[in-house]
Amino acid sequence: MKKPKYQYIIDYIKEKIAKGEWSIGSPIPSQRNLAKQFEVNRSTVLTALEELRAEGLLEGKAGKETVVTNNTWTLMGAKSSTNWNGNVTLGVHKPSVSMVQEINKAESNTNLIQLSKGELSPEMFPLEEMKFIVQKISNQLTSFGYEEPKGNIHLRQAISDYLKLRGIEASPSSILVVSGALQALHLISIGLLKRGSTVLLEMPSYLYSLTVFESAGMALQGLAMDTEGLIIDSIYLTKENGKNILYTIPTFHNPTGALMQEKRREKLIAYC
Amino acid sequence: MYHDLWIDSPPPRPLKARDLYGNVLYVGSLSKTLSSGLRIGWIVGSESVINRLADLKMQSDYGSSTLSQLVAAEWLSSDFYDKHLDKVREQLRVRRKVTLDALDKYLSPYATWDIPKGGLFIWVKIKPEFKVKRLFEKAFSNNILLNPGSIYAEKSGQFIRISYGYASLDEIKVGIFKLSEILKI
Repeated sequence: MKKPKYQYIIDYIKEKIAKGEWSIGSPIPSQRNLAKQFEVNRSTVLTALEELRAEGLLEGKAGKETVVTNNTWTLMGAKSSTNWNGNVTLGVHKPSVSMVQEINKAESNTNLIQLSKGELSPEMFPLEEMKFIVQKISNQLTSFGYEEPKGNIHLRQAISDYLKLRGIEASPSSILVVSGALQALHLISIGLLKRGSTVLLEMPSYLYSLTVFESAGMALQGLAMDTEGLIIDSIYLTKENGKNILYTIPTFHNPTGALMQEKRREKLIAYC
Repeated sequence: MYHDLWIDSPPPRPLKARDLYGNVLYVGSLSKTLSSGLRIGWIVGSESVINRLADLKMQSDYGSSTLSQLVAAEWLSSDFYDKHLDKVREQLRVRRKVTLDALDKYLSPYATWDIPKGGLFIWVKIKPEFKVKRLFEKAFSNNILLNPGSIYAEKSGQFIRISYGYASLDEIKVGIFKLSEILKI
């Protein structure tokens, strides 16, 4: 006997659900679109949906979209499944500010004049040197697996030597390689600070365009600035010791470009 | 972050260089000076802090890419990096000049700014009679992207951040000219 038309729709939807492409909580296509897709009448679609509802896979209220309520696996009773659609906005990390999202999106558009980008121009990228170095590295490669937790020892040694020239004595064991300053901030926020601590920082600051500390339950407290950056006398602590951290960009501050001079650096270190 | 991008003279030693008690966490990276695509940066702190953060980093991504780390190590331990920085500083000096000249020529009726001693940004204060939100939107529809100070929680709402590090010299000149055209009307 030939398979009835509504059965095709049922099989199609069941497959989508079984594969997890339509997860629990997902809305399914409208009746009109399903009718179009399968070249059938709305009544055929209704028959199919009615059957799926009876099986407990779908749920729909009059006038509202029909959503997936179970999947074939949960119905078989194995395990409960996650409702991702509820969760994509529930994660602990806040989305970035909408204007920042817009700028991030626009920054990949090459027709724009980018007076915004905090990055060196491709014109300044040392391509020849990079090619040379990558080639040199490739000749020295051995098998590579997981790296040491703090990062490759050759790199940490190189960073240690580099920092020494800038006045910082740091042995490789006190250096952690990260994927950029942003990861550094993220690790600090989840690893060293309690929820409810305060992050003191220059106002304005690059940090305000991110939500890394707020997402970890910390409050930002802005400090006044002048042309030399943060004004130390503007720091006053709602002091519970050990609960606060001060974030500063003393050298060519983002976004103001301010540079903190010798004296104020000494004063700040003495304060901390 | 921007320490190596000085233009006029080397900046004072970092705060970390003066830290006798291990109170300072110092963050640096190659993203602003060499390549943002390498994804290599570092945190320096006391060993107990670094051990804790290393444990968290392992739980989050199991370590940075070996290839990137080896490339970064080679850059830093050869004289390539210093030579590269010399060239970058020379370029930034030119770029800063071209940008400041364009600002003087086109934006002086509408705005004020300080001359940065390094880094990538000029922090431009737009006079209160002009609306920065409108400037941002009109500029965007003229294919110019700039960062309004409001995203950095600047309170008066009268600032924009202009980068002289990225766009070509011609684009910078044209861009700033177009900003003046927008402000004029």
